[in-house]
Amino acid sequence: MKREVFISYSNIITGLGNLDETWQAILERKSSILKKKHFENSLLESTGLSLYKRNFVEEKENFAHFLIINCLNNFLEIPKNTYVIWTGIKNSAEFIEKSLYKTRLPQYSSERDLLNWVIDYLGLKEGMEISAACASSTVGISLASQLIAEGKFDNILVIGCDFVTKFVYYGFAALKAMTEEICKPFDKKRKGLSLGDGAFALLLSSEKRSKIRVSGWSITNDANHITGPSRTGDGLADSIKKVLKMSGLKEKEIQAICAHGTGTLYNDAMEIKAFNSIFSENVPITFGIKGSIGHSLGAAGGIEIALSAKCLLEDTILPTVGCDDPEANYISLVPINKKLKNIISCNSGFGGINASVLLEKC
Amino acid sequence: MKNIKKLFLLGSGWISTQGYGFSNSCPLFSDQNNEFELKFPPLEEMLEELPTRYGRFDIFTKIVFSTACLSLKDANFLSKDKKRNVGIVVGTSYGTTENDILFFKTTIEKNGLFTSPNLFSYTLPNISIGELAVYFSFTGPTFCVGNQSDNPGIEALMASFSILNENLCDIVLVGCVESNKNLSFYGGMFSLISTEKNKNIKKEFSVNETKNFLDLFGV
Repeated sequence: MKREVFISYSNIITGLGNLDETWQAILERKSSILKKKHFENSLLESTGLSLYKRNFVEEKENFAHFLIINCLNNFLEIPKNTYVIWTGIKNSAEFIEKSLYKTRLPQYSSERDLLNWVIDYLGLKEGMEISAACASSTVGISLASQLIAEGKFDNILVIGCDFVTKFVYYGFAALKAMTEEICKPFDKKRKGLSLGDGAFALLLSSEKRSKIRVSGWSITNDANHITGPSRTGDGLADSIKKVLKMSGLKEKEIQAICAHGTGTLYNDAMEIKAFNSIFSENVPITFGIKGSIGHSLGAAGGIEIALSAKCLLEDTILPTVGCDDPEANYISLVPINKKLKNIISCNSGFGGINASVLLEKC
Repeated sequence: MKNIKKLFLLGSGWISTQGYGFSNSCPLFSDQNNEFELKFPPLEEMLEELPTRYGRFDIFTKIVFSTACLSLKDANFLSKDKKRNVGIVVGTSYGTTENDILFFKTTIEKNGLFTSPNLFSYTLPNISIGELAVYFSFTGPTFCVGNQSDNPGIEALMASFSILNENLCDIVLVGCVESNKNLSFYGGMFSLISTEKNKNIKKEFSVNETKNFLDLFGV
């Protein structure tokens, strides 16, 4: 017998603040992305980055710890039998950078070290980490939902962070994936992504302690290219179809989509193709939040799922900040008040991965 | 949800400094890896053609790809003609650390002027899985897992059983790989497991009693 899965509690940290602060700021169409020459570099004249309280952190301090401690501040009491799934992907870059530049070293922070640190910090016992590029937290939430549904665990904390480092900055710059402006998801004039600091924590449970149920999840691969999205959108479309099948909902019943929307030419075009192919003339209202907070890699999906759950609770669809001239007529430009019963949140990443989660209000 | 209790092993493969082999052999690993190189199988003899990016693979991707090919050969599953709903799960503790350091060194000179986009592409362990998915047209769930200690194969198997249970795919290629010479487990082990019997099955095994990769090898 498959058990139901609920999001008991969630919080996020972004350049705009915690969950409530980020929600309010996006409603007001604000962005924490600051355009300037952030690093001395030969690749970009300027770029937009969304940073979280960098001045409050000493160089020797581990920034991942700082983000997670802030994210867990005032968090619901976590049951002692909670399993942990960590989904940050490139936190080790901080140590690699500081080692090579011979500055003061923080505690080494591979993803495994951070998993162990979170388990100790919360007084829990066991967990695992997942690495699936920018879809990591959506994959983590999918797997957590599956493990709870089949009765392996009653509570799973899916948690992670990623933040701007020179390592990641230079890498995306070399791939020519970043804009020198502030990113413009789904805009016809979009030129690339902006990076951002981000953390999230979602407690998933079999016990109903909230109105948000995870009613569908899926993970697929494009089998097309290791860094470029599929030009056809087939992999993402396949993922959304599987989510619909699992939830028992029809295409026409879906009310909103929180898209990955990085602001790169190819990602956003791929998503629009996938949505059009599934929903044809009736694509649900779709939004992306990376124009407000940047792209926080492995944490992006978790942040977006937490905000999607809040959309359901507040009966409001968020605007796509940064988008002025949308590529498709279903991209939301302003907040939309609407009685919401469900929302799909989806992400795609390097390695050809796609993951989707369907949330329902119950 | 299927509520699976039994699964079928279609094939396995392993690579270490001591050699390489299939499901009918016992994987051999050593504590003296610094003195030896990994023994890779002759992929050019096993495959119709090498992947287009094979020459650019980092060491982690090379181990993942080569070991996976051994298990697919063992399962008579090397065809790459059509898309198949096969998932891939890889357990690793240290992932792409060696390549991460190589990449970061390219960013230091002249404020990043010589930053290598190719090395950056391989700074995530799931890129190696992407290479497998692209080459063999596998469209199922694909991700890497790690755990609190040096035995992420346990979580890789748990995640694999779970995605099969939910029908997210029909077959899973599951592996465990480390590319750090200082570890006693330096190399890789992969198995192809299915929810349904076919003529190539090597053995039937219990989900509840299988926690370790070595349980999937024949001795």
